[in-house]
Amino acid sequence: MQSPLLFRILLALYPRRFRRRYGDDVLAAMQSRRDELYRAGRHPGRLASVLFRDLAFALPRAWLTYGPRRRSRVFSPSEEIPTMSNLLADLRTVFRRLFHKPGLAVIAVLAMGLGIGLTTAMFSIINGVMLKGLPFDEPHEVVALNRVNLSEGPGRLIGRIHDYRDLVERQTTFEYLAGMEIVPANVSPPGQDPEYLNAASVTANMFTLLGTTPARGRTFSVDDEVPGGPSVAVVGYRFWQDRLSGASDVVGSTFRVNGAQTTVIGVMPEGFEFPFNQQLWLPLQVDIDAFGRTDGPNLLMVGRLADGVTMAQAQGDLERIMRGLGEEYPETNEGMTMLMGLYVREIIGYQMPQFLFTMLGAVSLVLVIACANVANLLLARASLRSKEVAICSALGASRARVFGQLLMEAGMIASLGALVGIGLGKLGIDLFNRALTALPGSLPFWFDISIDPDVLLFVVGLTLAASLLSGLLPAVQASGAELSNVLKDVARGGSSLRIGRLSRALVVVEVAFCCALLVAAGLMVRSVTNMSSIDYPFQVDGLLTAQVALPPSDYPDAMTQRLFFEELGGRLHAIPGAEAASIATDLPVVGFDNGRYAIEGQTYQADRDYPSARIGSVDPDYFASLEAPVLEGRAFTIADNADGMPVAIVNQAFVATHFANESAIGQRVSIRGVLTTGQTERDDDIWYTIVGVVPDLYLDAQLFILGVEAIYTPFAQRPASAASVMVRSTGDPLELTDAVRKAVTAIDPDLPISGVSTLRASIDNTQQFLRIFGVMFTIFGAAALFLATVGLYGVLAFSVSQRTHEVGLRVALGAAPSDVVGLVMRQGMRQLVVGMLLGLLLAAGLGRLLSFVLYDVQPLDPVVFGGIVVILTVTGLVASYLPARRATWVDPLVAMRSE
Amino acid sequence: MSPTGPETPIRITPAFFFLLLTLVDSECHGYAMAKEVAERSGGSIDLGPGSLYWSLGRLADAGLIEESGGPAESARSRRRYYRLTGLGRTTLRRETETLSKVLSFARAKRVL
Repeated sequence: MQSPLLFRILLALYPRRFRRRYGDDVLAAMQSRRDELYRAGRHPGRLASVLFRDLAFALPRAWLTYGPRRRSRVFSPSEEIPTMSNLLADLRTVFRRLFHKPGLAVIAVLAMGLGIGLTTAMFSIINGVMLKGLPFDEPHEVVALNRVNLSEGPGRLIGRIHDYRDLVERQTTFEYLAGMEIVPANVSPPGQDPEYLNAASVTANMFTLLGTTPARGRTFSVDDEVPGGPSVAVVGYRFWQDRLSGASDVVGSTFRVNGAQTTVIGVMPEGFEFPFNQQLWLPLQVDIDAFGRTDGPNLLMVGRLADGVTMAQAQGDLERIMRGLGEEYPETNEGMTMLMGLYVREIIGYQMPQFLFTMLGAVSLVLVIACANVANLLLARASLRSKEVAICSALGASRARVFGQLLMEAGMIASLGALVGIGLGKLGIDLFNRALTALPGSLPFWFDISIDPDVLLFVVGLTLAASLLSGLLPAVQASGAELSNVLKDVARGGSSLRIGRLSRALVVVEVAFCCALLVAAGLMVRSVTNMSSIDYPFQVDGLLTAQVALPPSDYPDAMTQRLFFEELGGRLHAIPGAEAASIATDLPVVGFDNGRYAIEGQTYQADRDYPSARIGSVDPDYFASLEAPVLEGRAFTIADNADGMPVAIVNQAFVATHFANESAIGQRVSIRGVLTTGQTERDDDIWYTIVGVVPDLYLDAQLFILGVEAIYTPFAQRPASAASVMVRSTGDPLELTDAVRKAVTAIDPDLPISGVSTLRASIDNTQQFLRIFGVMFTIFGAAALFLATVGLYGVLAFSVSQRTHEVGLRVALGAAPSDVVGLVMRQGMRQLVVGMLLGLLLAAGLGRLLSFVLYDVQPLDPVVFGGIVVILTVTGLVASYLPARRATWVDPLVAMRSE
Repeated sequence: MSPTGPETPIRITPAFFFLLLTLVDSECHGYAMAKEVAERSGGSIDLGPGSLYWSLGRLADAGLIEESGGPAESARSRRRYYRLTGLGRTTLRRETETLSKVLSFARAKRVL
């Protein structure tokens, strides 16, 4: 009777010797057992559980008793148990053999080092940016919470303070839930110039949540949190050292923050800059009840999970509470939920990890290419030694030992490569860190890109993988060759032919991966060049930019803010050398605020149905200062003031979306909610009449988002407490810095200017990050090209040397040198073409993964693809021409005699 | 047949003990032994097919049991029959004596 397939599969798991001895009995017993259980009317699951338990018990024991270790005893003539001395002897042999031809060994080690080094550097970056996480206790318990509008997809919004209070009261899964707000702070330490900082205004429990104790003094208590409570501050280590001169009696000293005399109560330890790169913390003193649910500050919420609570449980808890809030307060909360994730992941966003892991994937291709090269080298040597191996086998060396020696050889190359790789990786990390520090602004405080134990562990894993990857194929090939065939094989065809086919397949893989990498590099490079040669619809050069933020204590309302900036505008115009000057909430490219709006005549069901656009307030000189044309209608004038008719200017994208077939001029829009930075007064009910249309002025720092709708309102009609100033200079704009600073301090001596830069520099900076990655991709591509070229050359050269006899014969029979060259080059070209075809397919996939960092380049850009095909073809031709030429030097007499 | 010699001591686990006991009166085939073990142990020792033949292999390699022709009517069957060897019987007696000493000690201590 044929046994059921399942039983035979189960049996197949046992070692062969056990199956031979008891296979039939086991199958029969399985069937008897099944029949019995079925007769007793038991569920089939019962049989499954019996068989599974049986397997769990018997399988490991059967392998121990009947496994291959005993078999080797049976088959090998001598007792060849792997002992330490055997192992050492093998290691010595392998080492000697490896460095018998040091040139080849060194090339192999360097190739491996290049692959491991690049991969290690890339992994260190990922590790430092996102895997290591926050440098606090139990960082995997610290999560960030984001408000998400379910009907709009996964876009993150900042939480609202009312939600925060409700969550704190109703949650059951967090040990702590803290809230914070990033607030502008103008600080004036005694005897120093005022300085602008991004401070964090935090709930008192935030420090407890993070588990960090201050280096000096204390952190906030609940008493500091009450509205109108004491003016106290906790400062960062760097701030203490640089601005408070590291005074030992710093606790209790005072300095001015936003105009208020503030007492230092504590200093945080070095390296603590939570939430991002903060150096100053103020207590969050908000009277929540003074605000309606739509108002009040927005809070970034951070939580620490309670003991034993999983992420999923906490997320479930949040969703339950948010559903309840949605029912209680449909106006503000319907369709809203809270999504949480590990703090670091939430803060860096979701594109960054995708990008970084794509890069890691790309760089591991370089490593695979290196492994293929080493495998080819080992294959070549193994085939040269195939006779030696066969003789050893015939004399009683076990296949296992031959196999082991080849793996050892690969392991040795990989280990030496790893040492080189760690060095190269360190170099790469240093270069990357240097490039990062050149970026403006400070990086998130948890960035720590270095070679740490985790990275070393990764290198160990990588080395093992590389040893197997490069050693397994040659080892299987060499130890598996039929003895008699090899020994009989007088000519060099035969056994080496098989190995030759494998080598060629490896080269095809190398070329394919290399091609994909080069295409990715090409796309990135093109993207970066495209970005630096954007033809902006305004004059980028010659503009100085800086920011001024007014403390709410001194400038509490629209009126005082308007007065300040109007006076500042006048003073800026008076600066000698200033061609034009302007004040606005937002600048092109550097970034714009997002907001929602309504168009007159349209109806919107709920808050979330209002369309969104970039919304900014600009003064009458804005477009003139930028030298941007007004395409239709007019620019703002000084008549568009607080008492004038509310007016707005929109961009072309806005017109295309809403008024494609009619004129936008004369239409009216209203702006919803408090959205512009620093704006304090709502203006939902004001209808702004559109008076002008301007081009799309690159409103996003990412540059990838083109054609975003924008609405500009007059600064006088929608003032804000924070604004950018822009001054156009005939000479070097930065020379005007002092004059601008004086213009500000002439009005208010406590006010600093911050972020002084030129628009050109700001634009360059937004691209700097991508430029770094473009360079990295180019390095990966170049390394891949180099390794693949060496691989192709190596295999062809080896094949030519193996075919000396054949070539000699052909020449003797009248083959011309060109025939010989053609013979070799055809072989090379075949590998190249197949590899490239595969590579282009792979590149299409890789390009799609990269598409969100590509600027104005299609993932299938024909120029890049074509260019890479040309580069690879030329390199491939050279790599195969050299060995082909060598083949023509073969002297038929010598070649024929060589046997 | 066995690479380990008959003198190789193996630890007599409860399952081995039960298996040896089933062979005291008569020779028996593997599956019947497993069934009897399951019955006698009240189901606490339930040898699945793989476990059964691995155990029998161990006992045979240790020289405690050996294969036998089986009863005449089973000649056509492919089932293997087993019987105790002399060493098996000795081992069984020694183990049982030890166990009975353990039992009387346990009784004296009123554990049982």
